[in-house]
Amino acid sequence: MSNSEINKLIERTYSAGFVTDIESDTMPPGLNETVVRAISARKKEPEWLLDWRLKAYKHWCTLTPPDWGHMNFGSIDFDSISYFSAPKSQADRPASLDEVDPELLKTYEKLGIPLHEHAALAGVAVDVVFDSVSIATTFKKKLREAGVIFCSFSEAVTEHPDLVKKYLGTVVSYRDNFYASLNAAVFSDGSFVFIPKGVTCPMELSTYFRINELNTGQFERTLIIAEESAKVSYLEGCTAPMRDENQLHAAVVELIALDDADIKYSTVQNWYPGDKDGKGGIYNFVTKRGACIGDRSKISWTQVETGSAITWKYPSVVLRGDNSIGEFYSVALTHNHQQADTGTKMIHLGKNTRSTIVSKGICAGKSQNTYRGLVRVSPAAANSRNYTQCDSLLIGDTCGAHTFPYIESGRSDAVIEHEATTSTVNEEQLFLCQQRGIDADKAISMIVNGFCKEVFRELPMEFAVEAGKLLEVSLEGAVG
Amino acid sequence: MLDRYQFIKQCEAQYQELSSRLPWMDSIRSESRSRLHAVGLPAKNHEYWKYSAPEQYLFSENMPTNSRGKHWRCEDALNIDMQGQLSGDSVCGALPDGLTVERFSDIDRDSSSRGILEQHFNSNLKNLSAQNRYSMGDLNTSMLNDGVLIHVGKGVTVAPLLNMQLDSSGYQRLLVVLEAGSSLTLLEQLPIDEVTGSGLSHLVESSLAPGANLQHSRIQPASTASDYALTSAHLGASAYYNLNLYTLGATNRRHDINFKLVGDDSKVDLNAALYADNSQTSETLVNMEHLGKRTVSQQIIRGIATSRARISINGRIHIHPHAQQTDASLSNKNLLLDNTARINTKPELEIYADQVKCAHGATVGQISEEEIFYLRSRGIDSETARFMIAQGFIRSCLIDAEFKDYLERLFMEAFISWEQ
Amino acid sequence: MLKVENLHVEVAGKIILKGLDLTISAGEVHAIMGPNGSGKSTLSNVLAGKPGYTIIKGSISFDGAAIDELSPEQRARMGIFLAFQYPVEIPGVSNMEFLKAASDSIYKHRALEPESSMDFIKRARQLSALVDLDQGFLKRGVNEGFSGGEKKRNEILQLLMLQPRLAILDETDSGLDIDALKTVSEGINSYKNSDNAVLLITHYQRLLNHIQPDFVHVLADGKIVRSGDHNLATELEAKGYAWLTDTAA
Repeated sequence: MSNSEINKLIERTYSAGFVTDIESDTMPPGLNETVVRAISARKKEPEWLLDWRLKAYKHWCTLTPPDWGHMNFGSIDFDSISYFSAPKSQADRPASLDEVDPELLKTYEKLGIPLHEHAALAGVAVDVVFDSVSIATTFKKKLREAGVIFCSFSEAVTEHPDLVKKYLGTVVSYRDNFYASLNAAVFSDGSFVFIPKGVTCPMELSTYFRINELNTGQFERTLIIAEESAKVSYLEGCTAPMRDENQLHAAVVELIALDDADIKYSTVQNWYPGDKDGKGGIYNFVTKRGACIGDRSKISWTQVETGSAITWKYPSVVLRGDNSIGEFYSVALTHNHQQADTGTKMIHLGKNTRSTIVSKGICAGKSQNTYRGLVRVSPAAANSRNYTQCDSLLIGDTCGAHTFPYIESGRSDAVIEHEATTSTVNEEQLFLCQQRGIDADKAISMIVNGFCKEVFRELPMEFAVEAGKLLEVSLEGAVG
Repeated sequence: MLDRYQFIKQCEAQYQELSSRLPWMDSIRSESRSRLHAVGLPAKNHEYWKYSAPEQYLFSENMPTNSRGKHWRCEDALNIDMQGQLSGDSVCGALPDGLTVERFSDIDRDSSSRGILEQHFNSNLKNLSAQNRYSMGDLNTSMLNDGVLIHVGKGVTVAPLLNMQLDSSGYQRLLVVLEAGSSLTLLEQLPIDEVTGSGLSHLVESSLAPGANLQHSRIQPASTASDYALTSAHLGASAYYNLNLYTLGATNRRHDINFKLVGDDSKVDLNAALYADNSQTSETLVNMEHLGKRTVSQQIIRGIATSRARISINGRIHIHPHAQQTDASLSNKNLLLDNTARINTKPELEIYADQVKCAHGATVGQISEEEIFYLRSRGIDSETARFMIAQGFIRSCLIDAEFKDYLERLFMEAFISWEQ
Repeated sequence: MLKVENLHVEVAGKIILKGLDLTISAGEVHAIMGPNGSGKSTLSNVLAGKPGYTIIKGSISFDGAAIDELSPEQRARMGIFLAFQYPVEIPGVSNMEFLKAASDSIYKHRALEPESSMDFIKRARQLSALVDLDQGFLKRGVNEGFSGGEKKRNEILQLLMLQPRLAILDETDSGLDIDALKTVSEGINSYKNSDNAVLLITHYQRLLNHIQPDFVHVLADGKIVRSGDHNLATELEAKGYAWLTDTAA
C-alpha cells in the first residue's frame, strides 16, 4: 500500500488526554535524601519504612539506568522531576467519597470510571490513584465482610503494618534494578490487596492510575498477597493527559501466592503515547513480578499495552512451589514513534512447574516493538514445561518488530518450546475485506483483533471489550 | 590464562615483531589494532558474551604452526595444508584450471593474486569489527602472520572437493573469493590431535560474486584446547552459500558466523550439528543479515549436550529496511541428556520490512515418549531405545554424503564413550 | 491366546473402556469395529502396554499369563505386535538398524542366537518387495519423511519381519488408496497361519473385503455390544452404527 494512503490514516486521537484543573500540592523537582524523608514524613510513615526508603535511595545512587533495551531516547534528567504531587483537597484525606473533590470525580466520570458505588460497574471494586496518592476505594465494606483487604498502600502501612512489613520487597527487592530502587525510595502510594486463606475474592478488584500534574513522576507500588487457596482477579488501567513533555512512570508490582492460591492480574495500559511526531508521552519503566511461593499456586499476567512513548516492562513469575503455574499473555501495540521493549521472565525452580507465554506484538508507523523474554529451568525444576508463542504483525515498512527470547535449560526432563512468526496485513487481505464492503480501518481492526484473540480471551469480560476498542482507536489510520 | 593486561602487553610485543612479515598487510594490521584499542576486547558483561568468558580465547603466544594431527583424507579430493600445499597423496598432481590456492606470503607483488588479495582481504571484517561483538576478528588480523587465499575464476566449476587441513593452533586465516558464476566445494577440518597448542583463532572470510555457489563444510573434532572461529560471508545477487557445521565440544569453543545477503535473490542454507559432553563448552552465534530483496535463508541447528557440558546457541535473523520478500527461517532443536548439562538458546528476530516471511522455533527437551514407546512396542528396552533415538538425532544432522562415514565415526565415538 | 476380561481402562482421568471382554485363539482373525470415540485405539494401546493407560478393573492374559503389569517391550517379546495408526518418525535411526535391534531382542527372549546380519538383510529385502517398498526405505530413518501409505506398509514390513504371535492392526486401512490397501491386505494374509492370530481394528468394512474375519465385534462406549461373523460387518456397512449403539444404550 502506498505511503500517502498509510499517512492519511495514521492520524490518531487520544481521548484521555485532557488535563484536570485542580489545585495540587507538589514538591519542588529534584531528588535527594531530604526529599525521601519529606515524602515519608508527609505520609506519617513508621521508622522502618523510612529506613527502607533511605537504603533504597542510597543504593539507587550507585546505579545507572539500564541501556540494553532495544530503544532510543534521550537521557532522563532525574533532577527535573517532582517526586510527589497530591491534589490539595486531599491533604486531609476524605472520610468518604462524598468528601472527594467534585473536580476529581468528574475526571473519572470522563474516563468512564464512576466512583460512586451506585453508579459503579457491577461487581468491580475500584481504587483510584491520582498523581501520587490514592483518592478513593469503592466497595470497601463489602470486601471487608469477606475478609478481603483492599485499600491504598498508605492506608495499609497504617492499618496493617505487619502484613506490609512481612511482604514488602520480598519479590522485588529495593536492589532489584535502577527503576525498582528509585520506586522504593520515593513511592508515594498504590494499592494493597490481601486475600486470606481459603477466600475467593467476591468481586473483581481494580486500580485506576492517572497522572495529571505537569513534570511529575508517578511511582506507585502495588502489593497483592493471596494466602493458601485464596483467589483474586485484579485489573489495572492507566491514562494521562496529553503533554509535550515526557513524564516518568516507574511502578513496582509484587504478587505473592501461597499454596493453591490463584492470582490473575490484568492490565490495560493506555498512558499518553506522545503525538504523531513523537513529542511527549509517558516513559513507562515498570517492574512487575509474582512469586508462586506455594505448591500448586498460579499467577497469570495479561497485559494490553497500547500507550506510553517508552514501555519497559517484563511481568514475571518465579515458580518456586512445586506444581506451580505461571502465565503471560500480552498484546503490545506501537504506532507513530512509540517504542516498546516488553516480555516476561519465567523462572522455574520447583518441580513440575508449568509456564505459558503468548505474546502478540503489533507495530505500525515508525514504532519499534520488541519482545524480550527469559525462560529458565533450574537444575532442581524436575519435569518443567514451557510453551512460548511470539507473533509479530507489521503494518507498513517503516516500523520494526523484534524478538529476543532467552532459553536456558538445566534439566534433561524439561520440555521447552518456543515459536515465533512474523506476518503483515497484506494488500490482498485488505482488498478482500474492502471488496466485501468493509472499510480499511475496520478491516485492519478485524485482522488485528483476530491476531490478538488468544490474549483477549484471557481478559475479564469488561476489559476484553475495552481492549478491543482501544486497539481500534490506537490503530486508527495505520493503513490505507 | 593471562589477565587482560598481560595479554595486551604480549600482543603489543608480538605485533611489533610481526611488522616486517608481510609489508602490504602493515596498514591493515595497524588499522585493526587501532580499532581494537577503540572498541576494546569483548568483555563478559557484553550481551553476546553472556555465556562465555572472552578471556578463554585470548592466547599468550602466536603459536607455531606445527601442531598437526590426523585429518580425514580422500584420494579424490584436493588435500591442502595450511601452507597452501597440495599434499602428495592427492591423485591429481596439480590444481585444476581456474582454481588458485596460495599462501599470502607466497604471493608475488606483481601477480594477479596480489590484486585479489588486496581487494578482498579484511573487506567484510572491517565493517563487522566495528561492533564489539566481533572484535575478536580485529585481534586475529592484528596478530596474523600469514593466511591462505582460495580463488575461483569467473564461471569456473571446481569439481573435486577442496579439503583444507587446518592446524590446531595459532592465528589463521582463509580468504575465499568466488568470481561470478563460479562454484566450489570446500571442506575445512581441524585435526583429531593430541593437542599441543593452547588455542586457535581461525577466520574465514568469503566473498561470493553474483551467481557464485559455495558448498562449505567444517569439521571440528573434540579438543582439549580453546578455539575461536569467525566465519563471515558476503553474497552477491543470486549467489548461494551452503554451510554445514559438524562441531564436537572443546574445552572452550566459540563460533561467530555472519552472513550478509546483499545481492537480490541470494540464498543461504546453514546446517549445524553440535555435540558436547564432559564439561566442554560450545557456543555458536549466527547473524543472518538480509539486505537484498527476495533473499532466502534457512538455518537448521541441532544441539545435544550431556555430562556437565554447556551448549549455547544464538540464531539471529536481521531483516534490514527495504529487504522485502525475504524468506528466513530458523529451526533449533536441542536434546539435553542429563541434568548436569546446560543448553541456552536465543533465537532472535530483528525485522524492519513488512512484506517478509520470517519464523523461528526453538525447543529444548528430552526424547519424546511417543518415540520411545514405538521402539519398546517392537521389543527394544527403554534404555536402548533412548540411546538409539539420541544416536539417530545426531546422525540425522550429518548430511554430507561424501564424508558421512567419517563424521559418523567421529560423533558416535564421542557419544558412545560418554554413554559407557 | 489372548483373554481380556471385564477390562476397565482410564486415560487422563477419563474412563474409556468399561468392561470389555474378548477371547482370541490361535488361527483366528477378529475384527473390532466401532464409531469414533468408542475406545478402539485405547484397546490397542492398552494391549501393547502404552504408558498412561491405567487398568482400573479386569485383566489381560496372553498365553495364560497375566500381562497387565508387563512393560511394552516384554509384551512385544512375548509376541504382541501393534501396527500403529499413526507411526511416529524417528530421524536418524535407520529402519534396518531398528528392525535388527527389535528382532535380536525377541530372539534373545526366546533364548535363540540372533539371526545373522546377512540372512536378516536378505529377508528384509525380500519382504520389502512384498509390501511394495523400495529397498532404499530400509536405509532411511524410521518412517522419516514417509508418506502416510508408506508408513502403513512399513508397519506391515515390520510385522512380517518380526513374526509375532498376535498382530493388532490399529486402523491400518485408514488413509490408504485402493492399491495400497490391496498390498497391505496381501501382507497381512501372507502373515496369517494356524499358530498366530490377527486383531483388526477398523472403522470401515472395506479392509474386511480383503481379509475375511472369523469374528466381528462392535465396540461402543467402551464395551462390546454385539459379536457375529463376517456378515455383521456387511450389515454395519449398510445400516451404520446407530441402530446398535441405540439399543445398547
